[in-house]
Amino acid sequence: MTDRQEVFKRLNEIFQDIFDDEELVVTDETCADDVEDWDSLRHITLISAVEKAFGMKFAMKEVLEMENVGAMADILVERATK
Amino acid sequence: MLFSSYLFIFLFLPPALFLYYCAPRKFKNAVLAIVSYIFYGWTNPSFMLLMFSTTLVDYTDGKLITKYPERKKIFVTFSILFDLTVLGYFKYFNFGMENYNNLMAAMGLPSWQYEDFLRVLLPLGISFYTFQSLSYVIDVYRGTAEAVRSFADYACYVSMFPQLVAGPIIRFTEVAKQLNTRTHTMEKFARGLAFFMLGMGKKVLLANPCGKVADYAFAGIDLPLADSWLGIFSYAFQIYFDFSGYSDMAVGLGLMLGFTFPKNFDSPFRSKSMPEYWRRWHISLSVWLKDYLFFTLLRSNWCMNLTEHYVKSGHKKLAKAIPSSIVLVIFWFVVGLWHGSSWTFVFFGLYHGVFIIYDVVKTACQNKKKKGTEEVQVSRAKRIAKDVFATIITFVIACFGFVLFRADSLADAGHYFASLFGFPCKDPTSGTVIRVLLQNPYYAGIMVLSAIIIWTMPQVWDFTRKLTVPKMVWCIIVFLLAILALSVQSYNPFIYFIF
Repeated sequence: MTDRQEVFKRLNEIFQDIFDDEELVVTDETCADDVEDWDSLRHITLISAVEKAFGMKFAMKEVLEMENVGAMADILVERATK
Repeated sequence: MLFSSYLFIFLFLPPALFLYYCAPRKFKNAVLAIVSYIFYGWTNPSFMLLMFSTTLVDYTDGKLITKYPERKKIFVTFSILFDLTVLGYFKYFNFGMENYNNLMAAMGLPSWQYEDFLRVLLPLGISFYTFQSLSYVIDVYRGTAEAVRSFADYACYVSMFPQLVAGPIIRFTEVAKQLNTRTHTMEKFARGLAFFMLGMGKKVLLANPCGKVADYAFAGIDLPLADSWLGIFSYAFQIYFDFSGYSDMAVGLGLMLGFTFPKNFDSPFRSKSMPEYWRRWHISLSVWLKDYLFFTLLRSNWCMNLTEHYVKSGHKKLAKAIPSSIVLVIFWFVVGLWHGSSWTFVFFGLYHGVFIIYDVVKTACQNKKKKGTEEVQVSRAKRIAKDVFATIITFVIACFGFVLFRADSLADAGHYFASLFGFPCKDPTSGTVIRVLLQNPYYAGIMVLSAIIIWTMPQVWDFTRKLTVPKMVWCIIVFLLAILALSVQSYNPFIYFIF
């Protein structure tokens, strides 16, 4: 399994937990408009959960500028390879 | 000077636009900044100095943050403290002193007698331009924006007259590119004119008459039931058309100058819940506070530690509900306080916060949606009925908040709330509001027209998206009627000027 696939596997678990939806599956293009209840509050909760799960911290610039899950995954993969 | 005034429309705007369009491209921002300072200093020239000082401090700090990134925290902290101290002093000094003296009097201690000359004058629009300037320096600190090279460009951003005194609050990232690369086209100018004319119509033809009705309601004490409800509806209409109309005029002026500002109102009275209402009402304020206050508080150490504490102790639902609820109390306290230096405004903010916090807690307590769970199918008629009911309830909740917004004191607000529930019982024919509406069919007609426009007509954004000759004729008719109304109206307040 590639790094990116592993990242998405873990992200799916986090998303399902944060949004209380066992059927939720995210892709590169998934954004706030695609997921019910993905508002500002959930976004920060999600960010915190991802940071804890991956042992890293997003910069505020990254938190505000990521447009979809793919952008989030890119940052995670990049940090994992550093 | 008000946008909806002869002074602005005939004496200020034409020469301002003429000078702007005659200026070579590289001087346009400087010219815009100069005419904006003239606009701002018209009522009180000393206010220009205040705005200039905020502009200079934040511009300088932006440069310093870029040049000395290892010390950026010091520079951004200085900007935040300077800007909020200035805002706090000019906006909240009198409020603070009154409360201090009340507290001293309650404890039987001597109060601070200060001379009238120390009573602080509130500079127009200080809340708006301070938040704008702050957004720049914070964005440079966060790395989401680059520091502006030219002081003229930055002064133009902070001071530009379309949105200077009443918003929308334009964050720097929303116009950063436009400062140097905006285009000036006939389509933009025409759309800008349409926005300005329709906004003026909203303000003069709808907000002002509704405001007269609202004034009757709030001047009375212990109104009969129907009068109190009509009174608060008229105030809701006034404040919506007043503020959204002014925002439309600001957007229109921006378009005439080549800027595209974001939407500030998105038919808020069509919302079906209070969270949705605040995604549609005064959007620029919510977005600003979300990005610079809400996110900062949520990602603070105390909040994340509290969340972690609940998660570790096995209380996942509390982890989702409690920290964010505490942040929301602070957030809505600030929303209320931003609107004005009065306890009624504070309670206005907290009142709305209650509904948002309820939504958060409700969501936190929901159970997981399990695999294979099918959604219950609801008939179209039931769905429409549910939506209509939700819209009505949301509007009524918003109206209750407007009582706090409008009342001169908490006691007055309490009286008004009581009258909304029929206390004390009054003769239904004794109220002034219904009498005014019956004696002046014009006001009653305007209230009905306002309701039709609010709940059925397209927004100005959509109406002006593709301008045709008939649409432009319609805009001109509305504008001319507004000009005519101005000549006969002596009543032309603007509510959000005091912020």
